[in-house]
Amino acid sequence: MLSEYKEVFLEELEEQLQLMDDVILQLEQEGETESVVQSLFRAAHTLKGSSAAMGYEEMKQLTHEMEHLLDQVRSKELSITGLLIDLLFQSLDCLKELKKDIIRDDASVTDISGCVRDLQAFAEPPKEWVHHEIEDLTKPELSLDTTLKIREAEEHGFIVSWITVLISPECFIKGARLYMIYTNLCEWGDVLYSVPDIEGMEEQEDSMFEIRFLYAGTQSSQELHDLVAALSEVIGVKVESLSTEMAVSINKENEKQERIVNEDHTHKAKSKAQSIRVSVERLDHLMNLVGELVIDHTRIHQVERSQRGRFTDDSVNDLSQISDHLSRIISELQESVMKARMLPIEQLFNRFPRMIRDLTRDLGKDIELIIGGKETELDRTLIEEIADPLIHLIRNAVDHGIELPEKREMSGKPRKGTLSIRAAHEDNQVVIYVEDNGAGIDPDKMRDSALSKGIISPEEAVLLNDREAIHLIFRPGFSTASRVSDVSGRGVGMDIVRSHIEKINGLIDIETGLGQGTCFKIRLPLTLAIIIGLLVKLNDQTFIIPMSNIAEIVRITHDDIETVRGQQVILLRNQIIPIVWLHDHFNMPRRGQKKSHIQLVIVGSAEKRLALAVDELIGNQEIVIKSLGPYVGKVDSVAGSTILGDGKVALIVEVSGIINQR
Amino acid sequence: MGQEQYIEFAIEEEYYAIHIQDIHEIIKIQDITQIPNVTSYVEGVINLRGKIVPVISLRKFFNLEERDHSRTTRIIVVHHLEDTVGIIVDRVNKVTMFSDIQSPPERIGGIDGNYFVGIGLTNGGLVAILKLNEILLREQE
Repeated sequence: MLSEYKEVFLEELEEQLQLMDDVILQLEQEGETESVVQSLFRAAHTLKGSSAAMGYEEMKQLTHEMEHLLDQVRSKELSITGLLIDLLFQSLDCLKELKKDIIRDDASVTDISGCVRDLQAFAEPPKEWVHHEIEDLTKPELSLDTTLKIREAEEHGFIVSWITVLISPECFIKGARLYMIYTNLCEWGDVLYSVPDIEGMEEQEDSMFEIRFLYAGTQSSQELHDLVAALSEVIGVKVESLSTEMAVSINKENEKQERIVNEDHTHKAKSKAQSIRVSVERLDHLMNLVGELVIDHTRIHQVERSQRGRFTDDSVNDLSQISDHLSRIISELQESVMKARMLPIEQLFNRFPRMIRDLTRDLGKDIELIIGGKETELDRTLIEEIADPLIHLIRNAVDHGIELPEKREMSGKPRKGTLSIRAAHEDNQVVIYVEDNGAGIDPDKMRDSALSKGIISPEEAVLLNDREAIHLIFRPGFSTASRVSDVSGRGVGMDIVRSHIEKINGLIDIETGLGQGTCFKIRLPLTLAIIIGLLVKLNDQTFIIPMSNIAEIVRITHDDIETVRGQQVILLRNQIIPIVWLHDHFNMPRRGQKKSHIQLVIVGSAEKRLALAVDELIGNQEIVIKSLGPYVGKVDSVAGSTILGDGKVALIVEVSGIINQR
Repeated sequence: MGQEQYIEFAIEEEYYAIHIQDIHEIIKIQDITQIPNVTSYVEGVINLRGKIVPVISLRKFFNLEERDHSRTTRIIVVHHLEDTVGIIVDRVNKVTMFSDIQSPPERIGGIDGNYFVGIGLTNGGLVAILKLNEILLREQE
């Protein structure tokens, strides 16, 4: 039965761990503030509760210790020190390990005893109130009846105390929880009075998380405190024994419960209610259906046009009206479904502060991380796909890009390096920048390195301009790191980064200035399922080149073509670009070459451009990518297929496939 | 055994059959989009009501002489594992049943006997029954 909840639990766990990561970092950078400690405490507490409910003993134990420690921070018994931050991070890592165990269903692989010991050693012996800071609340006014009851109880030798109980705001049925606390108290002794009245509780159960009982029993304050604190979902207890004198004292102001509620929290609870979790599979299915609609619509449009040529009556007008309306609806539908699949890139970016912190520590660097455009949304599959390449780029920037503080000082730069990671929407694409103000890339070094590794021949090295030399970094087998560090240079080179990005129809570009820094620019499509494609003709067959791969389109004459060592090239704004006849690449005869002009589609990223020669340009259109199916499997330089307006199948050219063969 | 139904079709004057259960539908020849750089007998892909379906030429598969498609040319769309594949044949004859099926000889008219389940006997003569698993098996490299 538990496994049904496991997924939900894991999701929550992920959220809370991320939250803790952020908050601890914040603590480290900005120092201790009440709200930050509070939210960290709350996260630990929530995890403790849910892991206990799921029966993950280790996690419960660990979070319990964390919670305990944090409580002391909160009550100012401990202050935030570097040591404590490290300890918290260490515990967090331990929790992450435990999470992996849970995912694998592999209990207790991770040893938490060391971590727990450290936490315990750090914590001071517990004080009177274990959990939540409860303010010295004013006592409610007591009726004569209650005062009499207190007197009576005291005469019988009972100790009368005010017990203030705080329950977790995460608790689902607060009223019921409070009622259970009440029944527990009734078992141990007598509840003389409660604020608010326990009987009228149902009505206001949602806003309640604090209750005060006037309790008469034999237990001492400490005993009572421990008993109540052990009840589930109780996050704060305060016991004050009461003399009759005090009880009679009157104070009218008793509505302070709201104080402890963090505004932020209620806000969160509200927005939760308005969203539902939908499996990605369902969204994918929706997207497929929209894709079908897009195809059918282009077909209707085509039919409409051919009818218009033949008939002129009203029915054709009707058809075109319907078609126009349909097109509006479909594009709106498509956009909504696409939006439903989009997530802010924040999800990914939030991982970086912690990563940078650890990296800078290990490498002895001083780096300020600037993150921008967190709210930029893109398809969730893209976020997953882009994570690894980005992490690699960042590692590189920290390891090889930004120099050690001393070295920076010597070259007249501020000791602290800057790494900026930004995302933004730019003409229907998402652009991610990873920019550092480090040493930059030295083209001469690149040439030498590539030469010594046998990636290029000496003749080639001479021919390379600086820009091309820098782009050598994307060649397989290239790594500029002279030493293999733990951070980068683990055999995953920039070539993998590039091929990964190209796999998702993205482009990567690099700009660098020696001594000034390096900027990697990644362009990604907004979505994977529906793309804008340029329709081109080779002989009679239509092919599609994804628009995201296209840099520009030029029309040339045969005279513009030059030949360099047997390779046809075109000189475009001082850049030599090799020409590839798509016909040749696809083993098709080159017909229709009597034309005076040749259409060239320039594709690829800055470092590796190719001019694809085609017979004719038809235009661009939204296309739905369909796989060729398992029987055909992966075809060289073909990314998939789509159905055109006339019902014919057209193949989508895989540009990276063609480039990589060069 | 004798009650099972097959679709009988022809290439040249040779008769072949496919078990009716494997057949999804039989359609007229359509616009086929060629795929570059694939095995020669894969003719290309067609649009079957919005689904991309690869089609193969049985002629090419059996290394028979190529011929232009005619009025009688058909595509037999079959289910294969999770996939759908179209097979181009010269003409489709009829639904048939066999009184007896004999195991295939090593070679049938120059074609490897492994591609057949057996030889079915009908009043009209001998019909080679295709073993789809063998024919549609492709090296997935």
